[in-house]
Amino acid sequence: MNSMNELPEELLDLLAQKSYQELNATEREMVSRFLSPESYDEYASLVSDFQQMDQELPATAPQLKLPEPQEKRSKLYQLFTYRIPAYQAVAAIFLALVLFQFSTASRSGSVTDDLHTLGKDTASTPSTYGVQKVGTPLSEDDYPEELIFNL
Amino acid sequence: MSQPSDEALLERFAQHKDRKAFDTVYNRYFFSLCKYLGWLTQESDTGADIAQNIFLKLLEQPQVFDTRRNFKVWLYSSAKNQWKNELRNRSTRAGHLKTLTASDTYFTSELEDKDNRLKAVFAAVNQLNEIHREVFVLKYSNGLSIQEISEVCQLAEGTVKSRIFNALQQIKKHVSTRKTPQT
Repeated sequence: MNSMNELPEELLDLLAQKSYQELNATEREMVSRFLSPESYDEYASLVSDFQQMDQELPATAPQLKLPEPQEKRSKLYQLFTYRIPAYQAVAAIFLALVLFQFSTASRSGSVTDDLHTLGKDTASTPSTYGVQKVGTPLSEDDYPEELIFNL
Repeated sequence: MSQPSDEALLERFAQHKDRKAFDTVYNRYFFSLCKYLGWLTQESDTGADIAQNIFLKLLEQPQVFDTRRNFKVWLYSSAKNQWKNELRNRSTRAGHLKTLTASDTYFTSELEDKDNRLKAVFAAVNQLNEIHREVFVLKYSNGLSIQEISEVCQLAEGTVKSRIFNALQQIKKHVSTRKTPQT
């Protein structure tokens, strides 16, 4: 008889499928290298008994129900509950702050520009705000006397 | 018509969220996995919990299983690892001994109405040490091939075969000693 380490897998499968009587000539020849017919039948019977009992076991194990996937929500709900990574939210806030700063700075810059143009003839220059600046036409006769210097 | 393989079904589930494909695999293996864990842990509830956890994880994160691998091997290996983790957690808890004592009756209580021979075989499998019981159950309850068992248990195929045969010898011995007093 050969070592059990060399036992062919087929023999272990046959134990669960056939009695010695049901084996064909090739199978009997293979079995006889490891087991006597009596031993084979005894082991086959043990495996069969085990499987018979084992097949009745599932009834004792509770069938647990897996949760169903959540129902599809409305598009509006999905829009409001849409998840984005934290770094994207931080980047968006930072960008908003930078844009706010920039727009504030450019607005104050235009006011300064306006102040710079005060000394010039701005009668026909349209202002940044869309309001036409109108100069005060002063004829020589209407000039205030205190502003007239006789050099 | 041949049925689609486990791996093909799970790939379909991972790529197209095909819930039917997932359910097919679940129905194929849930009870089988519960049985394996029941034999391994000797506790039906723990076995069912672990099986449930594995399938829930697979449902939520299909990528945990690499579809190029053998699903059966992955499934039983994962179950075994989870049971080992559970045991490790329990070793820090005082209730360990109590649980084991309570669980001893799980399989035997199901056998009240069965004939003595079947009872004896079942008791004999129950009394095998873990290394023999595991390979025996994977072979004759779960129907894994020797190669699959060797991957799950991380043993050489020759060792798996000799352990299965050793288990058969021990069962035979146990059954015959139980028969002797009655005859």
